[in-house]
Amino acid sequence: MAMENEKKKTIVIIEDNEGHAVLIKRNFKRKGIQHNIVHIKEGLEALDYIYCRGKYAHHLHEHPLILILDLQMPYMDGIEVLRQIKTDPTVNNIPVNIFSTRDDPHTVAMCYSLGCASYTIKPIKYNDFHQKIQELGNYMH
Amino acid sequence: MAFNDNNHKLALIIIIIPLCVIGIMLCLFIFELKNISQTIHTQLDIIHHTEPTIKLSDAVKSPYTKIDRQIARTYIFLGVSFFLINLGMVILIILLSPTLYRILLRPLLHVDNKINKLVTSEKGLKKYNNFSMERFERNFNALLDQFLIESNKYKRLEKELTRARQEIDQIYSISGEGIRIIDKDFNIISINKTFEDLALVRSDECLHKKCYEVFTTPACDTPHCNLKKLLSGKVERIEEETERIRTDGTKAYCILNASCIYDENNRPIAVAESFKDITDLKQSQEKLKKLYREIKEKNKELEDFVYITTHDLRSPLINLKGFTAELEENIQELGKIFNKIKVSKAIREEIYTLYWEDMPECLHFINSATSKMEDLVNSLLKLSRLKQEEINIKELDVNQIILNVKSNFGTEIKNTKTKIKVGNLPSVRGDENQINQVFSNLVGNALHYLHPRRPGVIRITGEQKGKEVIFCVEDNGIGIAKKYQKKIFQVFQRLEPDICPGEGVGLSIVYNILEKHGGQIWVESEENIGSKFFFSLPS
Repeated sequence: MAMENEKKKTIVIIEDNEGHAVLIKRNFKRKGIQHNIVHIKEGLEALDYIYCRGKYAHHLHEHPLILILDLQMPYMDGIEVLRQIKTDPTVNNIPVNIFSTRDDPHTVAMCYSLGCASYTIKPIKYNDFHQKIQELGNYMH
Repeated sequence: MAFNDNNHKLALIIIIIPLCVIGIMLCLFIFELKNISQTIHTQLDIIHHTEPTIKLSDAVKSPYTKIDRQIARTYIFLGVSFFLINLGMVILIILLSPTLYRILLRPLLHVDNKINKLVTSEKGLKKYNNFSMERFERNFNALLDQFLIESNKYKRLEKELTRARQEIDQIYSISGEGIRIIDKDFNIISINKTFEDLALVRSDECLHKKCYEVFTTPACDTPHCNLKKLLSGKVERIEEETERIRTDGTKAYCILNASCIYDENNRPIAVAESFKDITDLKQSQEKLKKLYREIKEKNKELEDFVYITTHDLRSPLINLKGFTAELEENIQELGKIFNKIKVSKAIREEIYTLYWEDMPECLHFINSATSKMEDLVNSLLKLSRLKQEEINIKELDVNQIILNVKSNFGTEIKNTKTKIKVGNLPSVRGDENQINQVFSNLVGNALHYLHPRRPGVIRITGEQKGKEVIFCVEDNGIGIAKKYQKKIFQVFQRLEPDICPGEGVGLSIVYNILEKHGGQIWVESEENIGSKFFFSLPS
């Protein structure tokens, strides 16, 4: 399915677990999503990417960004990334979708209060995992 | 005032005695005079007989005769004057009797009245107007008797007082509590041996010092001072825990009891303070508290650790599950591709075995192992989440809860043809979800471990006992051997893994819920007969 260039987006998967990132990518592909998919393993690097700085200094965002953000990461965790994005008016319009194994109500509530677009708990059962990615994909079309 | 016969006699006796004395003296005097006159006569006669030559002239003789006559006159005179004096005296006595009575007997009458008052306890006592010697004697004797009785009584009291004083001194000196007495000007007037040891002072060092200079507390010399409160009558007694500074600067923790000592007019004159040393107890208590805090912190850390670790285990599980599923799908795809490729029969059979037998078998074991691990992780999470969960205590209708539990197990109850008998259950206080979980797990266990050779009967009863309710979930299932009964509440302990699925956390969860509610659980069971699970909850 060809997608018009202006409708194309860049999905940034911020996830320290490479396996999870691969599973997400595979499911998106299976769903037929044709957006650019970028995988970044760490929070600080993710911010560099968003702000086009550091090793991404020469990068230009061709398409609008959609973030899929894990919470538990080394150096800078997902909550901090979310906070920094949502408190900066220049980037706070980027939708941030949390995709994490953390399921305690406190964390969920905090992420919503910080302004995440959605919060999805990573299911262990692969069928459920598949299902959740499909739902996320629906939202991204 | 009438003149009483007795009084008259008394007066006469009083007067006649001296008169008789005077009379006797007069008689003696007259007698002596007569003796002198006879002696003179005798001497003259001797002179006359021995010396007849000496002639006594008339001039000499006549004065003797004259003396005789004068003596005779003196007799008469003395006799008459004695008679007259006596007569005068008698008349005087008769005339002066009332006066004499007043002078001599009135004071005695007063004394008699006073004695009478003392010996007679009657009220409105009649006052005597006349003095009576017998009555006086009677009253006086009565007074003496009374005095003796009283005196004995006082002696006995004095003895008792001395003994009491000795007892108090003894108690004071051997008392295990440090005692000090403080006067109303805050001077220490007495301390006992225990106080010396407690405050680390010697008696001679602290006597007459101010109380706020020895064994002090920050409240000393402030409006919160206990002594001020006691002496001003604001409080009658003080009983409190207090922290005191010893002479060497160290702290002592005591229980202080203090109250006033009053004078006969009920005015406070001093304060007695008694200190019970609880320093060791306090220190042990502090240590225990610290230990308890540490254990609690460690326990929390451990719970957090379990929670986080369990949580983190989910991440690799997602990979395992995910990639196994991917692999399965890839194999399916690959299989389709192989079917299109033309190969020899032998190779095809080899590939067939690999693809449709060996690989699916590997995947099956990977899948079941990851599923098992997933179940374990989920159970652990359930348990550790339970420990972190806040509970919402309210009054619960247990009969309603049992109805829900029964309906949840509806299919299983029907399939196993189990009879569930429920008594009228008293209400309890607890968290609705968690208490529901307790009954669910217990009834679930009873259903899972039914005896294969007889229809199941599960009985649920409950009764109020004091401030708690004891529930019992009883079954006629396979029972639990004695040696396993203690283990069943531990996590991941499964007795019959083949009988039913599960992770072995059900009873652990029940145990933890009841512990959180301040309740307890215990089991009575016999193999092949059945089990009774009892648990208590506050009503």
